[in-house]
Amino acid sequence: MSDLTTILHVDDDEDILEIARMALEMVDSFTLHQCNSGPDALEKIEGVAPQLLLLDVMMPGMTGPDLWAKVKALPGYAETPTIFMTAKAEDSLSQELLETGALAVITKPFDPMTLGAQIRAAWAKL
Amino acid sequence: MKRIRKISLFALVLSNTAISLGLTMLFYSWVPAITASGSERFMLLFVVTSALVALITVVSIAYAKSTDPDYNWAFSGAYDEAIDLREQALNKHTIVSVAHADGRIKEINENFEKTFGYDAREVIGKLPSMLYGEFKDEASFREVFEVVSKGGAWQGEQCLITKDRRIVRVHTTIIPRFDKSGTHTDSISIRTDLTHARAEAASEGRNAVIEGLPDGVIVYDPETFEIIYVNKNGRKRLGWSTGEIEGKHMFDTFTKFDKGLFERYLAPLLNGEAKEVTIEVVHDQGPIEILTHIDAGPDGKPTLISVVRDIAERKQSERLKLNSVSMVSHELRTPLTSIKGALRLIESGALGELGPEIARMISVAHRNSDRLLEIFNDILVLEKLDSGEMDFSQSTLDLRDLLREAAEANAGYGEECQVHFVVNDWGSAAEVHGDSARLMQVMSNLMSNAAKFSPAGADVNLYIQDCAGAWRVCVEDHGPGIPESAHKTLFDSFFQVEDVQEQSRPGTGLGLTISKKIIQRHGGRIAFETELGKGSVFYFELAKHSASQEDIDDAPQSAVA
Repeated sequence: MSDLTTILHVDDDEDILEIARMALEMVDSFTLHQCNSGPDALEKIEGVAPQLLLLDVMMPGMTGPDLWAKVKALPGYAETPTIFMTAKAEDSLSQELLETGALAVITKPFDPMTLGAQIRAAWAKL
Repeated sequence: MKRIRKISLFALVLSNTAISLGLTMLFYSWVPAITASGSERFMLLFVVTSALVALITVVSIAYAKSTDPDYNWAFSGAYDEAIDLREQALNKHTIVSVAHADGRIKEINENFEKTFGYDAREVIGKLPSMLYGEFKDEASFREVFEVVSKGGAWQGEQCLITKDRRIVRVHTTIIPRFDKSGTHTDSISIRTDLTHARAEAASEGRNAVIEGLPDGVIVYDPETFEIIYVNKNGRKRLGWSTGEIEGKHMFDTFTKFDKGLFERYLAPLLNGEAKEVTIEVVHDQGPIEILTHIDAGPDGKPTLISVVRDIAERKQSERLKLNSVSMVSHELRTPLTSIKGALRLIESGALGELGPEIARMISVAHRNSDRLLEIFNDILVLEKLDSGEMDFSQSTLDLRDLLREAAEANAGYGEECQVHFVVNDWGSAAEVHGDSARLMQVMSNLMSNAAKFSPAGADVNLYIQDCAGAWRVCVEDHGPGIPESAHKTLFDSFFQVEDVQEQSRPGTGLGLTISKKIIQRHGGRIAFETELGKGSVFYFELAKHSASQEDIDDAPQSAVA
């Protein structure tokens, strides 16, 4: 698998988007594209062509899993690796997401100093 | 007595006859006129003499009896018989003993022997103090003796002790007896055994109340677990009729009954460590809670009483509450993500160097945001444990591995607290059936507490002990120990011991509560020993793994109906 450089991050919380931007662009060196809703992400995904999706689970309207299902239905995106981030600390939810093909599940709060390393470690398993 | 009177009468007639014959022969030999007359005169003389002697005897007896106004000479035979029958009745139906004026026993009847277990040789000549125990609100032996020894009568209910240390409840009447001069000679004690009557009355009273309870109630023998009584709702739950209870044991209440787990559940109750024990299990008909306590009957014999309560509704509301807690937890963790993330970025210097005071303040904020997160996590874990929603993944594991892994995982924390975790080797496998992640959580809780309360440079020892049917895992520190005021509430939520030294790492106050619930879900128990100034040992016990446990995934939940 090639090196990971481009990530599409989707979260409805503006502050978390800001923290993640600093963590992944400043602390690490990813090219990060961000959206604050599922519909916004679906509009932008063709122009971004991300290698990996970083999706919040609980979002109003379209949840992270819902967005993932729609992305997988798009041509060329059926196998796009996806990592979920969630503040819901339920083992069953994480297990369910992994069993349905998620690359990893990162619980919030996350450490911005190690978020990039966590994503790279998951990418390395591919 | 009648026999004695018959013998006395016979003796009287015989002696009278002998006297008459003697006198006749005397007269016969003295009076030549009679001697010369031959045998006819001899016989006549004998008859006259006998009549005279008989008359003298009757007059003498009549005179003697006439001086006793209570004696009815005319009906003495019938009167004696009435006394005999009365004495027979007393002897048969009551417990009788007679004591000298000084209190020492001089006679007992058969009922005394049967009731108290002593034979005559063991009590004759002794004070009856061996029958008396120390009972609140009961007259002591000294108090009764005080009254009776002065010639007074005493009456009342007593709890007396048999030779084999059983309690017997009796109604006692003690009547002194006096001789003609008014001197107290002895006392007669007449007792009626009330034990069985009281037991039946108590049983009837109890049964009337609990028969109608909405919860199931089972009463059983603590040694054999044989069922004595099941109330209406209990019988309905078990599908038994009243007639089907006899001969049944607790093991018959559930097809997958785990006898070993049941005995461990009851152990604190039977050895006096607890006054009641509670367990939640999942029955075929849904979740139930079983609360058990010991009841001592009127005869002192203990029975176990288990109250079985359907908690499906409670579990449902707990699940709803858990969903709410889960949502609240999510809502709390989301802003905390931003707080912690921002503080971490600042603290790391990624956004520029900080002055020392700002750095210190940022560190304080970050540390407390960590603590807040720990509390949220612990509350959520506690809610999951209480509602039964926490999944336990059961497998066979070696406790030696658990200790080693726990020491490695918590080594960093130990270094921060300047303590060293030392694993004492256990030579052979110590296998249990459990969830390694949850047990690791328990180890981390116990080890972090031990580290927090240990002086710098101290060791915290981790070791295993063999406790017959269970393995005991111990975490031993050499800290200040735990004051007695904290013993009862140590495992309560949010309770924290006030340390003599200021704690730099206060916990959430939920670690021990969570650990206790995890161990209880494993069917084990958790406890501690402590000595002020020396340190504490926190330990938990889990049943040794056996081949039969392979099929039990949720052993603590399927133990009892």
